[in-house]
Parts: sequence; structure tokens; C-alpha cells
Amino acid sequence: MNTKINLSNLILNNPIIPASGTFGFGYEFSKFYDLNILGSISLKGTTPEPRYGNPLPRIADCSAGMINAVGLQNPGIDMVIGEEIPKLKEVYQHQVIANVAGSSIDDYLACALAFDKCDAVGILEINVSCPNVAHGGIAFGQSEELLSALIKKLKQVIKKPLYIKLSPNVSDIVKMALVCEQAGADGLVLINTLLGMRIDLKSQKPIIHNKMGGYSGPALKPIALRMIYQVYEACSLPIIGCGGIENAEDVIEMMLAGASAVQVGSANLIDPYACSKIIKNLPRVMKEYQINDLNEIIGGAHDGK
Amino acid sequence: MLNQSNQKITCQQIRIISNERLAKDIYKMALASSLQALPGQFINIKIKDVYLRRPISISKIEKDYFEIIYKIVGKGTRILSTYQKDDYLDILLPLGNGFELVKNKQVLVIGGGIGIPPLLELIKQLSTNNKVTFLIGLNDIEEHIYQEYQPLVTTINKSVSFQGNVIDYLNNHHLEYDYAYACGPMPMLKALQNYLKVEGQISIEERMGCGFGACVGCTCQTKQHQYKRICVDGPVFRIGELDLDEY
Ligand SMILES: Cc1cc2nc3c(=O)[nH]c(=O)nc-3n(C[C@H](O)[C@H](O)[C@H](O)COP(=O)(O)OP(=O)(O)OC[C@H]3O[C@@H](n4cnc5c(N)ncnc54)[C@H](O)[C@@H]3O)c2cc1C
Ligand SMILES: Cc1cc2nc3c(=O)[nH]c(=O)nc-3n(C[C@H](O)[C@H](O)[C@H](O)COP(=O)(O)O)c2cc1C
Ligand code: FES
Repeated sequence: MNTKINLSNLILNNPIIPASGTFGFGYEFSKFYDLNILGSISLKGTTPEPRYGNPLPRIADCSAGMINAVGLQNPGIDMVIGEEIPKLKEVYQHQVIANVAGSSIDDYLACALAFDKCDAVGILEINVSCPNVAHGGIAFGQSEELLSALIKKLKQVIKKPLYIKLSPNVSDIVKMALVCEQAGADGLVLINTLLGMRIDLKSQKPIIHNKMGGYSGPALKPIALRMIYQVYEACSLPIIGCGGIENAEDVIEMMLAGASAVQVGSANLIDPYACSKIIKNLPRVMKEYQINDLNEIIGGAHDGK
Repeated sequence: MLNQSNQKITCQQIRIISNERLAKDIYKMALASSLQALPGQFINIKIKDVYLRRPISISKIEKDYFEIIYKIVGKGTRILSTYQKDDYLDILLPLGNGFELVKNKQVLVIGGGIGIPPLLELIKQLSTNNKVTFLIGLNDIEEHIYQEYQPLVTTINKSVSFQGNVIDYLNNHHLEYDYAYACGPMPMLKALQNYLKVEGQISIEERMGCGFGACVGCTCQTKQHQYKRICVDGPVFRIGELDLDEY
């Protein structure tokens, strides 16, 4: 049975990657299980300067998911490279995916250049889809011109593979994916959170201090599947699928839609062992559906496959 | 960082021994687990039909079971109240830092509303080595389910002899103490942090995504602008440590 996946020359033992923002900088999860079983790890979104993030409450519960408005709290690129990644390296031997956030091309460049020099990083994930800060990059994810300019600029100087994490809050995801491809991106991460809101009936005001936030969890899965499916039809970049994954069956479903690997987000918050359970169950589910090599099912749901 | 238990956080299926109504909308649940936890620590419960786990404090720790006391305030706690004896709950525990126990002090323990339960095990453990005064603030005497701990009681309505919040009570009574512990609604903790002149510890609540440090959904700041996650760096903090004004 083969679960090994090649993502732009980063070899993953299996396609399971904890998603950015739901796994911190990884090392704190080593108290739950041996992190080395993970295909890779996507780190918390990093900006050039430390950020406190948004005021509380930042979290609201929803049916089939949750809303977060953390607002990219992170210690800043220098701390991430100087302290967080070294701590992670002590407990994790594979390369990680560095999630880069910012509000201007210069912000993205500053972080991406620093991560590009970092041996522990295998892929740069450019987050142009954070809905939680005024200039959280979502502007880049919603404008073809800005997105194209950003990717071209990064490609000129960055050597490591660049994956663009796109926002589902657009009217045409395929168009955005094609912009990435044409600008020279190496892969895509589909999808980030949907913009959502909850209102507290007692106070009759939004629960989240920032009013809106990113909706994630199982409710996202059909939307992610549809977007991955559409993008896979039109664009040849490798896709990391993300949105609502809870179990090994969901992983197979995402791969059939066209994902080469997957990221598991909110599920880690409900069950810190979520990724380890998915990895443990994957061979059993592969057997159940007579899948011998995961590489063979990527895009399998498409006509003519 | 206060008192950390050395018990590893685990995810367990725990059997319900009892789930009884104590007062209007207030329930006590006993759970069959020999938990090595500290007063002030909490658990995070997966409740059917709601997505996020619900954090509830441990209110009593015995050899082969522990208890929680919870109030129905929404969908999750309402469903929790419908679980029956011998049902199982998926629980992540123990979480957070507990209270640090002092010795040979005159201790004042102040609880407000549903902030009282986490103080009950604390009082039990403090009583061996300290002189403890327990003051609770309630909306109505009907919520008084803590008789066995013999607290001083003040209520917001006129149901007991003294009417007012805990600060009003302290302003009108002379209590001797040189150390304080408190848990309750944020306005009460804010007021106490300004009012109390002694050292002590407070426990705070916030909406949580995970309860174990992964999502930074619960971050607050110290007065020196350091970031603290309430779930792993708290929920117990030293009085004066946090900047509560942003709440
Ligand atoms: C560390 C800690 C210890 C707690 N201990 C107790 C306890 O011993 N007894 C008790 O009755 N309650 C306790 N609470 C509060 C309890 O978690 C909430 O009342 C409960 O989650 C409400 O869930 P619900 O679905 O009924 O309400 P809803 O309002 O429908 O819940 C919606 C969302 O808001 C969150 N939420 C709502 N109110 C609060 C609150 N006050 N604090 C944190 N999250 C909230 C819920 O977890 C959920 O994610 C504690 C909270 C924390 C953080
Ligand atoms: C609490 C929280 C914080 C997040 N932070 C980030 C982030 O910093 N950068 C990012 O690209 N995505 C972030 N995300 C989005 C996730 O990585 C993921 O794309 C999204 O949650 C959908 O996956 P899920 O349904 O499996 O959770 C965050 C999500 C959550 C729930
Ligand atoms: S609730 Fe997730 S970090 Fe505290």
C-alpha cells in the first residue's frame, strides 16, 4: 500500500497536514503524539512584525463548524525563525509548510525571503485569504491584478515552491486559480475559511468582537470539494485540499476531487488526536475501497479518469 | 504560571454516575474517573449536536470520581442536562493551571454566580492549612446550593439580609484576610482586581476554540503586554497580572 505523495519535491509519507492556525507551531502537539507520523505541518500564519490579533471574543460556535477571528496573532517572523521553528525541529524531522501573511507586497516579501533561507521549510504557503484583519491579504485573494503582481514579485526572488492559499469568498475560484498558474505559482491550497457571523440573542449583537470571522469545519467540505473539482478541471497546479476534513474517508473524497494532499484544520481543535487517528485509519479505508496507491486516485472523480 | 498538574491531557470516554438538577437551570454531574487534577482546572466536553467542546470547571475531586456543576445558558449546556446516568461523555482533561495553594493564611475566597463551582474543591483543600472565609454573590437566594460550604451570601435582589454585589458586601463588613481567591463574571473580577489590596489569584472564563492552546482564540494580555492564552497559561492568574480593562 502506498500513501507517499510528492508535492513539488517535498515527499510526504502520507497526505495529512495539520492546517495553518489550528496547530500553533506544532511542538505543543508533541505531548499528544509523535509528530513524525504527519506528512507535513502548516505553521501559524506569520507576519513581519509580532501581532496581538483581534480583541475577544474571537470564537463562536456554529452548526457544523465554528467562526474564528483570531486576526493572525503571531510572534513575528524573527521569533518564528529564531525560536518557534527550532523548538519544532526538536520533535519533528520532516520539512514544514510556512504560512506567510501580510498586508502589502513588502510584508509578504519580507517573510517569504526569511522562510526561503530556512532549511526546515519545504514549501511556502502564501495566505491571500485571511478574512480577519483589515488588510489581511484577502484583498490580494480577491483581485486578479493584485494577486498576479504579488506572485510574480515573489517568484523573482523565492527559490522554494510557492503555494497560494485561496479564499472561497470570490465569485469565480477558477479564474483566481488560473491567475496563480499564469503568474508562476507552484501549487494551490483550497480553501481558507468562508466569511461568517453569529449574533447573540441576549445582547442582540454579533458574538465575535470583530463582528465577522472565518467559518470553518465540516460545513465547508462540500464547498471545498466543489472548488477543488472545478479548479482541477481547468488548471494543472497541484492542489492541497482543505475544509471540513474529519476522517480518512474525507481525505479520499478530497483526493478524488483533485487534491494531491490535504490539510486538517478545525478537527484538531475538537480532538487533538484528529490527525493521528486519520493517519491510523487511512490504510483500513484504502483497503475498504481497494485503493493501493493514493497517487492513483488524485482527480479520480473526473470524467475520463 | 501557577500550579500545573503533571497528569497528561487525555481524551477519555467517561461514564456519568449522576446528572441531577440542584436548582433552576443548575445541574451537578458526577463522572467516573480517577482524575489527578487540581482545584481550578477544567475539562472540555464533547456534547452531541454542538460542534465545539464546552469547558466546565472541576468542582470536586474524589478518589474514583469527580464532579462538575453547570448552569444551562444555551444549547450545549441544555443538551448536557439531558444526559442520563450510565451514558458516556467524550472529555478532554485535565486542562489549564489550577490554583496555587497557600499555607497559614487568612484566606478570603470570593465567588460570583457560576464562577462558584471551581472554588469548592479549592476551599476543601485550603481548609487544612488556612483560616478560610467564603463569600458568594448570587442573583437570588434560590441559586444557593452551596450550604455545605457555609458561605457568607449576598444577593442582587432582596432575598437575603444583605443586598448588593460582593464589593458592596466587602465595603459594608469588616472581614480579616491577607490572601484572596476569586472566580466569577468579568465585571466582578475587574472590580475586585482594583479593590483588593492583598495578594491572590483569580480564575477567568472566555469563549474557547480548543481549550488546550492550539487556536489562540482565548488570548488576553498582561499589564506588561505579554500574551497569555487563558486555557493553558490560565485560567488562574495572579491578581493584578492581567490587563482586564480591554474586556
Ligand atoms: C475555563 C472555563 C471554566 C468554566 N466553568 C464553568 C462551570 O464550572 N460551570 C458552568 O456552568 N460554566 C462554566 N463555564 C462556562 C461554560 O463553558 C459556558 O457556559 C458554556 O460553554 C455555554 O455553552 P452553551 O452551548 O450552553 O451556550 P452557548 O451560548 O449556546 O454557547 C455558544 C458558545 O459560546 C461559548 N460560551 C458561552 N458562554 C461562555 C462563557 N461564559 N465562557 C466560555 N465560553 C462560553 C460556548 O462554549 C460555545 O462555544 C466555564 C468556562 C470556561 C472557559
Ligand atoms: C482558529 C483558526 C485559525 C486559523 N488561522 C489561519 C492562519 O493563520 N492562516 C491561514 O492560512 N489559515 C488559517 N485558518 C484556516 C485554516 O487553515 C483552514 O483553511 C480552514 O479552517 C478550513 O479548514 P477546516 O474546515 O478543516 O478547519 C485558521 C482556522 C482556524 C479555525
Ligand atoms: S482556546 Fe484555543 S488556545 Fe485557548
